[in-house]
Amino acid sequence: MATIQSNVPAPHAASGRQGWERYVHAPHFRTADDEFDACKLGFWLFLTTEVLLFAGLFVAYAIFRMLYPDAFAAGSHLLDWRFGFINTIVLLVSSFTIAMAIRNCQKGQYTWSIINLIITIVCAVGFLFIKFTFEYGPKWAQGKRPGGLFDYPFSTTANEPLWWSVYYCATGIHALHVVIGMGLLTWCLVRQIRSRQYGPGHYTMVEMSGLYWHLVDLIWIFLFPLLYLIH
Amino acid sequence: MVAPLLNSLADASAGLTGLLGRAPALQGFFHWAFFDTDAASHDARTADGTYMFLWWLSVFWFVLLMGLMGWFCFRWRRKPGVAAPVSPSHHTALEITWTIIPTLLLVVIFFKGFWDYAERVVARGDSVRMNLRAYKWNWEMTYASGRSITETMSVGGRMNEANIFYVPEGSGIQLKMTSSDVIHSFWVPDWRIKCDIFPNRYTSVWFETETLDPADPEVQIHPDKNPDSPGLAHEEEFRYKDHIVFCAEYCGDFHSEMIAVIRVVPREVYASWVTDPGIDWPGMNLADIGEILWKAKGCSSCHTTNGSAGTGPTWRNAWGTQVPLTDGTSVLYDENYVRNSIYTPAAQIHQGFANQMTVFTPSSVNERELGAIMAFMMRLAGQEMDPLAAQSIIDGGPASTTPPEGGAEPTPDAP
Amino acid sequence: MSTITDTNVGGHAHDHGSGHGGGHGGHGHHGSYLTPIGGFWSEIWRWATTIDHKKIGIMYLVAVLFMFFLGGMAAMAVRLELWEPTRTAQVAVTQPVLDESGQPRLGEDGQPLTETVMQTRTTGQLWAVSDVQGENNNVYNRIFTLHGAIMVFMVIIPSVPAALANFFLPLMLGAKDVAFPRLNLLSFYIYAIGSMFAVTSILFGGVDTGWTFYTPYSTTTDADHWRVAIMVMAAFTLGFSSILTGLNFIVTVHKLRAPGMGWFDMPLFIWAIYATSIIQVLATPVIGITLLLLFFERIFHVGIFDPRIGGDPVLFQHFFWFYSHPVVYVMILPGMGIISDMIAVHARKKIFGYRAIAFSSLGIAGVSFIVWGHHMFTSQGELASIVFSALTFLVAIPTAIKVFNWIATLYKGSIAFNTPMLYTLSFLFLFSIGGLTGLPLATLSTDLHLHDSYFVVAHFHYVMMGGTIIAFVGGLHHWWPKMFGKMYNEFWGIVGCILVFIGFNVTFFTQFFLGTRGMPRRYASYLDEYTLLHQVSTIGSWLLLAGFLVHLFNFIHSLVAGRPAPANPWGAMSLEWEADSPPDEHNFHHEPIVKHGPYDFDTAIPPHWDAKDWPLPDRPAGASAH
Ligand code: HEA
Ligand code: HEA
Ligand code: CUA
Ligand SMILES: [Cu+2]
Repeated sequence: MATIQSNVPAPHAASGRQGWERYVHAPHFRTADDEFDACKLGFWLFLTTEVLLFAGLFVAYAIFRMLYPDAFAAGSHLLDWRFGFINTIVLLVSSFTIAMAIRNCQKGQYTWSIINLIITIVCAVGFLFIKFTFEYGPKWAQGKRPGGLFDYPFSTTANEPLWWSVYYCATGIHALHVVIGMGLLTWCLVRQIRSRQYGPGHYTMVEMSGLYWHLVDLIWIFLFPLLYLIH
Repeated sequence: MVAPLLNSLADASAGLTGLLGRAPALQGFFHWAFFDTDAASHDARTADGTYMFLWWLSVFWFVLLMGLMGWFCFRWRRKPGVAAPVSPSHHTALEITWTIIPTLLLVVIFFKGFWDYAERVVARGDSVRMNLRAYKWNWEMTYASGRSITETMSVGGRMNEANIFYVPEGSGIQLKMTSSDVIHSFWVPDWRIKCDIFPNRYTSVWFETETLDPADPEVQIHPDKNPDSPGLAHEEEFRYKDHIVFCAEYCGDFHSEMIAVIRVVPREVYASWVTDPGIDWPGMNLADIGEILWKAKGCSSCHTTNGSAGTGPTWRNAWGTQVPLTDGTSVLYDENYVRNSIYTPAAQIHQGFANQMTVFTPSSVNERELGAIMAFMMRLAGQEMDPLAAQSIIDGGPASTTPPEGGAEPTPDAP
Repeated sequence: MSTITDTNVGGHAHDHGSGHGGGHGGHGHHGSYLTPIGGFWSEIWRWATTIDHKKIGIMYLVAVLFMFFLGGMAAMAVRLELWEPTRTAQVAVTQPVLDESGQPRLGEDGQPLTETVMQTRTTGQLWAVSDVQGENNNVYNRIFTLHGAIMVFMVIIPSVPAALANFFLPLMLGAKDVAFPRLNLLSFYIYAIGSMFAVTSILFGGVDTGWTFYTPYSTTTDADHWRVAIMVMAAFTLGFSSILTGLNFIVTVHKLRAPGMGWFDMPLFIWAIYATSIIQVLATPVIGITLLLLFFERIFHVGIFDPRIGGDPVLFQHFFWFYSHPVVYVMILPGMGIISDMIAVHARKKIFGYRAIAFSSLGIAGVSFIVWGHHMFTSQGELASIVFSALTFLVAIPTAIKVFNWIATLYKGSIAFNTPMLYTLSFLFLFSIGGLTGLPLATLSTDLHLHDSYFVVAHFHYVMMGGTIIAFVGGLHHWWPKMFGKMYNEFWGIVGCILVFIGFNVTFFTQFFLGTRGMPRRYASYLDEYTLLHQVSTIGSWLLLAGFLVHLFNFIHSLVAGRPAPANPWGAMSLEWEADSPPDEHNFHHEPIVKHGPYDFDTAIPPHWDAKDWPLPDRPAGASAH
């Protein structure tokens, strides 16, 4: 990695000072470091709210699992753990690459940062692709739908619709977060390609998007065993 | 520096305690102001005691604090050109004191409430059990004997009539409650008791009825002067006392009309009443029975008999017409339509009305009752049910009621 | 903490030097944030796209006051409807029943049949009883829901934090802006969008769920329409705005305090806002997911809260109150912060027990998360009720500490009876009643009776209206000169305050008695025995309206023709009073350096000091003022 040069001039940067080097922190902060710290604190708070949002879903899961153990056991047997497992791997890889992308920015490895961002985004797309084509699609078609829409003729337990409600709500909201994370990463990528926005002096946005992506990953790490593995 | 502050605290509390010492009259006054009359059961009186304790405690703190505030404000009001004297701005001992004292008081309050509560939630072993079903927007009591039809009376000039439930005096009553649609809540203010009622689960509430004291101004003698209430099988006079039941959980348009009356009666009256089917099927005109059911089942809260539209379509002149449905088709207003509309209302919705109708089941409106309601609808449309059909409905035998054992032959009562 | 800011010596505000007590907003070459620089439309655009926390605060203020007006009008309608037991707009009349040919129908006994119909008082039009009753109740239910939802989600939650704190938090910290100015603007627009959703829902007929959205009622009512879904989304969106504002403030407090300002040099208002923000950030996501599930329920029937397919309506209540209990402290803590500041400034007295008040704010914030079950004594299991009852009493302790400290602050003060101080005293009076009546609600045996009665209605109006709104309006007077650079008319301010105080008590004290005597809440009609108390309450609401109208006109008058405000009209010590009135675009001409605490009235000299107005106390030996 070290072979990649950090200071290849960007095409448009005729002035010599380019992208992140031109970044000036907002005037109400005393220094750029202050600003970075503030952003980081703010973002951690934001992540807390995300965790709490999912906490609600986990509580719902726990309660219904307690109330209707049969339905939940039966339901999780209807999920294919292999897809879940592949998706777990996909997300773990992407978590690694986004961490690398941040490091690349810190070290000024421009090209590598772009490559790692792209891999991360591809993983995100892959995750969604697997989720929708191999999981949601067929299940929906078979009538394994949430609550009132449930229409699966072979269900063995009475409260299975609720299992599917929990499944779709939890994974659906998680998928929405994957999409948002993808959006953030794409934004970073575009800015990095267009104007070398992120480098050693300024990489806040990449770092924050990365934190977000780790969270998305983390939540999946909880969802996967709860939904697919515990019967 | 702070000594004066402490002194004034001490002074004020001493003064106030002195005042409360001469308080029986005041106590009576506030008890009246808050509760009007005494609570009707022992547990409820205990709860009132706790309430009044809290009231005086609050009065004490409030008067103390506001007194200090007023005095400080007056004593140290701003005077032009005069600066505030220098005084301390914290005092650890004081802070600790006024943390510990309220904490202790709060512990006392919690335990008071907790003990009362613990006593209240455990039902007396010999309690009379009844089932209460709540639905939009009425109450239906089923007694152990299976009786469910009730008398109704009008409360406070309301349009729909309130069901009257009989309970024996001086007994523990345990209600097992469930709802057919949304959450309701059973509240009898006179007994200071409240419990929510959920669809798809049972909750239970327990209370004790008072013994009827002839000296109590609210105890009345039956038969009363209310000609509306379709009378009782009993001809003898007896004492009774009514308590209002409110629905305390918001449940929609007629939440505030979802009222019932619990009538405490002597035990023997209760005993013969629960075994009385309530409606004298052979002795009454079927359409008249239908009219009683129209009120007792709560139909009257949505369906009028005078031609104007309510929450649901009117019953006047409806029988035999073509009903326009929301899906654009129409259907004949006949036995089948009425039956469907009662058991599966969502299937056919009358155009111009929302799907608001309560779902009834054969156990909440049985075949015979259905027949009586239809007879009533026919009469409202100026038709009459075929007498043979009517007779067979009447003969259908009580679905869930046992006929009275000897004596107490029900008297027909025109509604 | 013992010397004053060097820039203030001699009463000169800044090097730019206006005369002391500088009676004018502008400083020559510097425009205030209010000074227009373009034409009308370009000004509108400048405001709409501003990232200046002051302008955003003012926009919030206007929005919140407008919503308060709407919610207040709904309240007036509620009170009017409750003037009579069954309905106010119509009276019952008895008339003969006619058959098709227009002849009176005869009953079986040969007497003409009669029926009761309703007649509109004003137009004389006749209605069938059930018609009017059903319709009437329906409208009533929509109006109180509207009232509750507007007041909670669109008025009281943003009132102090988003409007006043937005303006004053950076100023009091000596900062140029909040940490994330653009996020701040985004919060405002999210608030605006949320309010728009709510208004849309109202225009399409409103919702009749109550502000608590209890399932399964809320998932089944108006099943054929999307307005409930939109209202749910409105609350969800407003929650977002609240989270972002809270987050912004936490970071601002951590990172943007002026040099020299330690945590214990912050005004208590900031402490309160800080504690509030923590609750906002931690509790709001839970209502977020709850409302989202409710929304899915309405759209896809996912059934998590639907008992028909095994869902759990009590779970909804737990989720709802897990947010909505802490949120009552989101409402009250900022109000308490305002009171801490106002009582010290207008009594010209160092606040008593600074640390006790600061930590009790955090204490309240912490405990507020573990008491939610006290709203469910009649619906959850017995054991849970007992635990929650015990925990509930814990919140009363830090609150009591605050009240004691405020009153101790008055001791040996120099107490001015201006509008802010009168509001402070009203707050102490009304909030004490509201808080003390929380005790019988928290007590198990008594709450069984009081739950969902008018006692609860009275309790929460005493704390929300008598606490927060009173503090908010008081704070509005306190900071008005700073915000707009104009003084309000003190006389009319006091008149308004007294009207509100009396009107409030007449309206809501009666409701305690209604509640204990058995009047359930959310009732469109009631039994005759409650009529007198209801009518007294309704009369009180007119006084309230009159009081607020006096304030409104007083404020408008001040904007149009008010006396220019000096930079520090009250002789206060905190940093916002070092800025001009109204403040400069960038808040301060120089970054302020903190050399004294916000309440050091007896050891330091307030900014823009004028000996005539604010005589200094005799200093204790050793204090080094000059
Ligand atoms: C600003 C909002 C606010 C605040 C601050 C409070 C404060 C408190 N509330 Fe209130 N409450 C509401 C808003 C608020 N509440 C709302 C909106 C509802 C109804 C929601 C709905 O159903 O629609 C409600 C309902 C509610 C209930 C449920 C009632 C029911 O539905 O059955 C309960 C029960 O415990 C309760 C308790 C308390 C307590 C113990 C406090 C305590 O924090 C109060 C502490 C204060 C004091 C104790 C007074 C000050 C101290 C002194 C004067 C010193 C002396 C004191 C002692 C010695 C103790 N509240
Ligand atoms: C902040 C919260 C808040 C505030 C301030 C109020 C204010 C008022 N409320 Fe409200 N109320 C609630 C929150 C609030 N309420 C909630 C949450 C409910 C429960 C809803 C439910 O059950 O779902 C409720 C329910 C409720 C009920 C019970 C309804 C029922 O259960 O059937 C009643 C009945 O009297 C009532 C009355 C009033 C009145 C008369 C006022 C008056 O104080 C209003 C006075 C205000 C005005 C008249 C506006 C004037 C404004 C201006 C002129 C603009 C300019 C202003 C300035 C410059 C300052 N309210
Ligand atoms: Cu039933 Cu309210
Ligand atoms: Cu609460």
